[in-house]
Amino acid sequence: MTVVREPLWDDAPRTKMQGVVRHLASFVSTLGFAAHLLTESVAFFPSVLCRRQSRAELVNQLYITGIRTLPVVTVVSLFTGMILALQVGLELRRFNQEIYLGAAVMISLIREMGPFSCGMCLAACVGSSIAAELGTMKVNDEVAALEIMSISPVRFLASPRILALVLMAPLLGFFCCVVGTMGGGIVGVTQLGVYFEQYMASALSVAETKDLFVGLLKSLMFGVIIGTVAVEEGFSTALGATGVGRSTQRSVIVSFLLILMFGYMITRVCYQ
Amino acid sequence: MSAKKKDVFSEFIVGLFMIAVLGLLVYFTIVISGVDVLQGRQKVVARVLFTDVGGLKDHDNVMYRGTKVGTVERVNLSPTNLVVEMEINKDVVLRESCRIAVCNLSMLGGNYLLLEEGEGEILPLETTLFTGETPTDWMQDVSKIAKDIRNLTSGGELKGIVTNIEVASGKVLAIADRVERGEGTLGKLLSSDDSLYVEVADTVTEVKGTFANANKIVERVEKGEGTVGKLLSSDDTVYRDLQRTLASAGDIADKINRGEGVLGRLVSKDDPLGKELDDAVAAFRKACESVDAKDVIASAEKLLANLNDVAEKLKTGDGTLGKLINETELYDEIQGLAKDVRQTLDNFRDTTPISTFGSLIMGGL
Amino acid sequence: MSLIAFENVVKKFNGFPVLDGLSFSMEKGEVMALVGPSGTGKSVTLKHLVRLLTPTSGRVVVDGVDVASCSDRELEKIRSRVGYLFQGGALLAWMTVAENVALPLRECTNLSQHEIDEKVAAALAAVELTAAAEKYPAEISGGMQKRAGLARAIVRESDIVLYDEPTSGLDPVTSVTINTLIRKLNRTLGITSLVVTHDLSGALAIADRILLIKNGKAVECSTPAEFVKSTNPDAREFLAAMKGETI
Repeated sequence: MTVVREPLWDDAPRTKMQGVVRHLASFVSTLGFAAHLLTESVAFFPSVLCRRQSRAELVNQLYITGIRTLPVVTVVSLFTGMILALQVGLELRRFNQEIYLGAAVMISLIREMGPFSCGMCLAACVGSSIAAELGTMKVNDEVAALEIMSISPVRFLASPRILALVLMAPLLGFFCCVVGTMGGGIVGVTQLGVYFEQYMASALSVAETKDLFVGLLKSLMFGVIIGTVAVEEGFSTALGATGVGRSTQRSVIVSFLLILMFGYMITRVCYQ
Repeated sequence: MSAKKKDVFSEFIVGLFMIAVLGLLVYFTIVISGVDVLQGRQKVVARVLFTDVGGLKDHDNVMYRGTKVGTVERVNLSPTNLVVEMEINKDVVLRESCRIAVCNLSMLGGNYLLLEEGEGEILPLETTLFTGETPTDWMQDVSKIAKDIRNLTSGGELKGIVTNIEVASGKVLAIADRVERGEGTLGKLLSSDDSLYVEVADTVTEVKGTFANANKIVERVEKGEGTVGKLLSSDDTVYRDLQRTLASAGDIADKINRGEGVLGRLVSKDDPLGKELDDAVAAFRKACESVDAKDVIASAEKLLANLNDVAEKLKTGDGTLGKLINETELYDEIQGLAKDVRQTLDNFRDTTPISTFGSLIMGGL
Repeated sequence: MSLIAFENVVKKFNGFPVLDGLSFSMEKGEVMALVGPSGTGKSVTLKHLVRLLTPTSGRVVVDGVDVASCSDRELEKIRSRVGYLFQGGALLAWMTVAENVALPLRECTNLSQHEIDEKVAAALAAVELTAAAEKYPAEISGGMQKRAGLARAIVRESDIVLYDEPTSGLDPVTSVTINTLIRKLNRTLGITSLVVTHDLSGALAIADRILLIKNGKAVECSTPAEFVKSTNPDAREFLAAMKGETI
């Protein structure tokens, strides 16, 4: 597929109506472009893993995605867990049921908040940086140069980034759950007077394999969404530095929206 | 068509496809329940007449043989009563004596509509107007129970029990008082001390001797031997014996006062038995203030009755006195009883959920 | 048959015609300089040759193939024959200059590492960048970036090279070197070159023909000798402006 695109229409819209129709049509074809990008990136996954240079690039992307985001992810998930524990704990205390604090925190983290907060961090840290990087490359004609050299930008740029996100998102999602649970434990012990052993026992008693897998599936989906959106926005960048800024912003917004929507849908599908 | 247009066209189609898929996903996950559509169950609307639905709402579940078969569609208010429209699986079978009731989902609220098949002819679901039972209001029931408990604690039965305890402990105290005052026989008899026993035996022998002497004197008087003045002055043994007997009795009373022997212990303020009894009564009172289970009250009553019995027996002295003299069995028994009362109360506390909800209700009242 | 042919190409952006009926053709082994004021569609013309842009109407033909409507396979073939020097160099920021130059060889050929190294060294030597081989694009000047881009455009030994402003922003000495290089590549390897430039003296020195574009149309197409003597008012205007600039 060609990544460097020119505007769909050479002439200006004659009527307002035509402008609206064109807007809709370009929205639809952007969706198709994103889907095309994703499928082609996935098709290039084996080639990314096979080629030495691509592997090096993949490792680099894994580092950027997984390791460089760790501080942010840690703080975000820690506080997510702490907030959850505090809110739930205060309610539970009204009924003298603080012993169930661990369970409540664990369930909400593993099912929803872990993947969700991880997705938000990745969209904000990694997705935006991918969109900005690819956008800059696009406006500097680097993407066009790659295309002219018969180097597929999808294989060379998109595929390693999406693969890195797909691999790292579930890991980070799980990491979020663990750190969040610890954060909840800290609040439980210091603010709500729950014994840590009691908290952990309660937390582990409710942690089911299904919840974990659904959580990991969610994280994976979020990784795919963030990667695809960021790459699509990056490759669609036009109009210089302003365009790069707009792509970055759009990639974060669209990722957030899709994460929320898909989070709900996956929950709905998995927990009838 | 140019290559550019071809690309864009294919992507446009893919985009349309994605929108369609996403639209379906949204429809299945947000608008309707996916299961119903996937399994293709056919639903019918049945109507049920109620006089009161006890908070049943739209979309509440309809349960049949323990499984969900549909939902409440609408609760229509008619001039005289309510008509509930429920959308249920067409395979549900309801017969002439079927029962339809609104049930509580949990202690914390929520309702569902329960269908029971019943006996007799099968009724057509769509055309029959079923009649539903008026639901029992769980919260109302609970508040009634709670009110009863409050009555118990403020006047009624429980007060009687507490009074019983007071009476019983009063009786015990009275006995102890009497013992402390050294009231003759009981003071002497109620000692576990061997030496005291021997002493008592001695005393009794001496008293016997004294009485024997007295008898002799009476005999002598009866026989007309000597004179009364002679009787009083010729022999001072009787006088000395009497004096010794009185001294011994004083000794026994002293021992009781010093806390020796069962009654001594009962009387003594710093003895663990007395304290334990006090504790038990206090704990029981405290429990009675926050507790609602009738069987506990009953068992407590029984215990108190036993205590009363014991006190009664102590008072009458039948059978028990021998034990009191020989060993500390009664002491142990009383101690055991006190322990029992405490354990019962502890067991009672362990049933946390009940007490939690009890306190919850109490808090709410 | 000519190697490259533009046939009445019209290209509109948002209704505004940037190319408005551009027609010209180039023979194999020819060096053509594309000159004209800014914003007249010189870069746009180059982009049409590799289908970075497609014409609103008209045809762009490369070696008998209509670039705009050919299959992806044919396009791939055309692109593999074309070296393209972008205005900014378009180097990948996370690779050194040498890696950038080696990229098309490494990704699209089966050459051994040794052969690649040799070719890269030769290309870098040709643009006088051997010293900066291990530097990153951000660490070298704009002119050096452009030369590195040029090295990457020629390293594959394509038979068509498109130069988008190869000498702008370079000092006069390096400009002469680059111009000489373009000429030399053409003479020794027979590379067909289309050079978009503002540098009239350079264009006059290297080009077989000079094409003047104004308002999206070819207004003058002639050899350097004819071009300077042209009576076309647009050409005269352009020449006058250029002379004023150089003085």
